[in-house]
Amino acid sequence: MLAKDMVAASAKPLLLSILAEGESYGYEIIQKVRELSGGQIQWSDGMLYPVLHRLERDGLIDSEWKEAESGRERKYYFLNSDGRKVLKTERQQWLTVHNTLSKLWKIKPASI
Amino acid sequence: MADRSQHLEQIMENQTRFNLNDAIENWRQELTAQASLTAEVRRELETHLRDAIAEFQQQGANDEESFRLARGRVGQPQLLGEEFEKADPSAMWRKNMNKKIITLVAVAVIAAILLLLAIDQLNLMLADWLLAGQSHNLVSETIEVVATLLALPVRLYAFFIYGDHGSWSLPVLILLLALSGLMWGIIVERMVWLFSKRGTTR
Repeated sequence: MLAKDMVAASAKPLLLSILAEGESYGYEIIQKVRELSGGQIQWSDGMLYPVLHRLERDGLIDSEWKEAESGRERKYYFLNSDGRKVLKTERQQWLTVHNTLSKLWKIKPASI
Repeated sequence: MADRSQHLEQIMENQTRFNLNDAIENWRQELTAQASLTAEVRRELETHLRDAIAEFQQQGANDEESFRLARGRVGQPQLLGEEFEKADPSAMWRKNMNKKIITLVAVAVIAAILLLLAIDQLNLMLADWLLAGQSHNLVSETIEVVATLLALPVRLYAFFIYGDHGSWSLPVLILLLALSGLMWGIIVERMVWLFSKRGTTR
């Protein structure tokens, strides 16, 4: 299980990356994170929303209430152009950290 | 056999005793009690809760169990409130903003009127030496009041900005609001007086 600090630090790039793949809503995002991390990253469901709302206030994502196939209305979030720019920077920074650690741990580095 | 039917009866009794809609309604009320959670946030959290309930129901849990698990997953309303407050301290401020604006405007208007009355008295007292014998007529007074009221949107904006930072207390802000209204009034009045004086000299 990932430490609390790591969970907090990685929330922004994770959310931006998930939304870069297409619009999504809170419940789906949490499930995706759980699935992708093999259960290692456990976000508390309710705590996701303050982060999403902060990203929206910062102008990186937009949101819209839409009716899902089930008929239930959900608030969908999607990445905007500013969010894409920030994600690009975040990606470079995280890969720099990743590659530095990979070299130290003699793991094949990822491509930036 | 008797044990089994008794057990089934117990389950059925529990099922009828627990009403999912009532439970959601109670949960909703607990959320409403959290000042930092806006109506939209509460709506979003409720859709999340309902999604989680549906997932547990699909897995075979009964209504009560599904609700209990979903509620646990979304988080305690009080903790949610605290998290939202931490993430956006100004949310508390924006809550019930309509009431706050109405109160603020009412207080500001009353304060401005009181201050204008005070200026009027001051004008009378100092008319001879400070205001060079300017006659304080109805037109200039009306302009003064209008200018003071026009300054309100600007003051309200400043109020929200400072309010968001939580650095200034309400009485200080009201005082500033009134003082700036007064300043605007005096400035506009002086300008009107100057222009009217120029018009007369021509």
